[in-house]
Amino acid sequence: MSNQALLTVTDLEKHFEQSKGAFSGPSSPIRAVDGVSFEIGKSTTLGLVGESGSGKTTTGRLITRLLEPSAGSIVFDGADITELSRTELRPIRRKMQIVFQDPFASLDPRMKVRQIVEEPVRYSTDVGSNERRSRVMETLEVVGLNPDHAERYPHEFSGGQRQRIGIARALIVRPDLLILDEPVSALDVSIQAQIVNLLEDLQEEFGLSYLLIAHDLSVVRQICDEVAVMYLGKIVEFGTRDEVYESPTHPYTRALLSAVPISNPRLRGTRDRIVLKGDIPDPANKPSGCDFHTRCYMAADVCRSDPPELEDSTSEGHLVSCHFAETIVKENNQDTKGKDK
Amino acid sequence: MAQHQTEPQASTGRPGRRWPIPALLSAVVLVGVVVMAIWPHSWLPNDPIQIEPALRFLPPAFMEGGDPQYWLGTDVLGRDIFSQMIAGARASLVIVVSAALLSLVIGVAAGLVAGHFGGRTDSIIMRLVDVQLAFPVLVLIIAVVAVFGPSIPNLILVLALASWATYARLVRGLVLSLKEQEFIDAAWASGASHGAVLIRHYLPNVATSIVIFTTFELARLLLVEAALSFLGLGVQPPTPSWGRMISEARNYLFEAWWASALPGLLIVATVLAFNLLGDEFRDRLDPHRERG
Repeated sequence: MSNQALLTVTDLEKHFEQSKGAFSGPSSPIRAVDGVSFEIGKSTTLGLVGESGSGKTTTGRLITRLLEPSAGSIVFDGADITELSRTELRPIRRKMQIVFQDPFASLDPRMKVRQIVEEPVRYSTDVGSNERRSRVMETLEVVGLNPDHAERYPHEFSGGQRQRIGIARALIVRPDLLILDEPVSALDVSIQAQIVNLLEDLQEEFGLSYLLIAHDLSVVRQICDEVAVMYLGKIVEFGTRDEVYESPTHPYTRALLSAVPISNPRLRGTRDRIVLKGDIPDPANKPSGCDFHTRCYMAADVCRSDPPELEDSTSEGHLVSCHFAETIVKENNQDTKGKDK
Repeated sequence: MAQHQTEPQASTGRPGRRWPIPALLSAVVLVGVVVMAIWPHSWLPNDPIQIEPALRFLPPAFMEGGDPQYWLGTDVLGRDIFSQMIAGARASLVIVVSAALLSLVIGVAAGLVAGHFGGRTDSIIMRLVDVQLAFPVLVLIIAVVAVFGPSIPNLILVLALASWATYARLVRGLVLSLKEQEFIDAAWASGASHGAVLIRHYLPNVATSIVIFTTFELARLLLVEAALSFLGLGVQPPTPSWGRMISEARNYLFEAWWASALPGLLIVATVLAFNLLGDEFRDRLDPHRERG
């Protein structure tokens, strides 16, 4: 993070109040996002990974202000956008856009492609209709679609093409930051590769920054510069891609990485799989101490009583929230030495 | 030539499906009713309100004692049944269509607003809907007409006020399910205003259901209007009306069945046509069937 940060998120929280029945008594809120901080630099990609329920999608929606944060601040391009109203956000919408997960649900079935793609221009700029039309054509070409497709309806397209339409809609205002909310997880694997390549090309062409929300660790590895691992609404490990993938230091990250399928059959069986017990705990009723201790294979008494801080483990900027970070770092070092011999 | 083949053909619509016979017949019946409604009274074979006591209960021309001049016979006052049936379509259609449109506008607006804004707005609108739906429609209409008089504008107004609630409920439900769709989030993320989301996203997506529901609603309103006229609360004499024809002739059902049965058949045919056409619309416009 040597360059000036484009987006700075500080202690972001989102608590959903549960609706109470007349006789149910007081209930604790669901802490979907519980104190998340990170920065995204210009033209860089931050991957936000975690299993379902970890709060990664909610984080993306908070940043785009589709949800109201309960606490914390979002500073984008030098301006605090946490409290801005819908109208005040419009200039921000020109610089920050979002691509949604489901290419079928994210395009209005009653609108033509042209109407879908031009939406951000129509709502957030003063550009006239002729100029809008030519921008639509241009952007469709940029994302690899035929401009002739502009007058068709979404149901005439395949999943991959629809996701391109979604990307075109986000791209038409030439934003600086794109929030990619699981942009490929709803697509076939062969199509995923195309979309990932497209995203990489676009980043190069327009100098985009990405916040990539994903659960697919191989996709994250391919395009991210930095990776943040979320668990129960908190970041448990943060570092550059190589730090996180080569020397994962949080037991949760290690478990996630050990579950990634190995494509080289010769290497199969050389790695121990860490299988996590049970499910992610209820975010309305979090465990004491470390959030992860209920499923952790290293859990000790200290984990049940004291919550660990997100701290620098060894290398610069590699943050881990675990009481046993140092032990794991040592293990990792031994492993690398073992490999070197 | 090869170029023509490789160029994917733009599909301009869904694959053509033939209209089934009942739907075609329904369309013919409804076109017929509309023609009847706009048919000038001066072009009718007989004056529909001309009373001829001498010609009382003349049977239809195809029966013994019938007169070709009055080919569907005459009623208790000697008025021509055929001419009355054609002339009666006008009042019925004006009332039914205006009431349906008015209730549609009120109900759809209320449903959109309730579903979109939720919270207190939603509670207030939906409680009004509950009150409206809890009231027996006919009792309400009878009360209002009894107080304000049975003029045609009054009838339109009262029928609309008795019908908006079902539209509101239908549209609110649809909006609530649309609200969770990602394309609505996408609109917000694009900087859309409330108005843009309501008009550009919700309205087109509920339009199909509204069209289908309206055809059934037209059928129902036609029956209610006939019932009101039958009870003497609807269209007032001398303006011809299908409901009132049945009502006036019902005491003479055994002597002159045609005077009440023929307008009755016309009501049945029109209501059936609306319903069958509504079924057809539902099948054709259902997005799930359309996309397979």
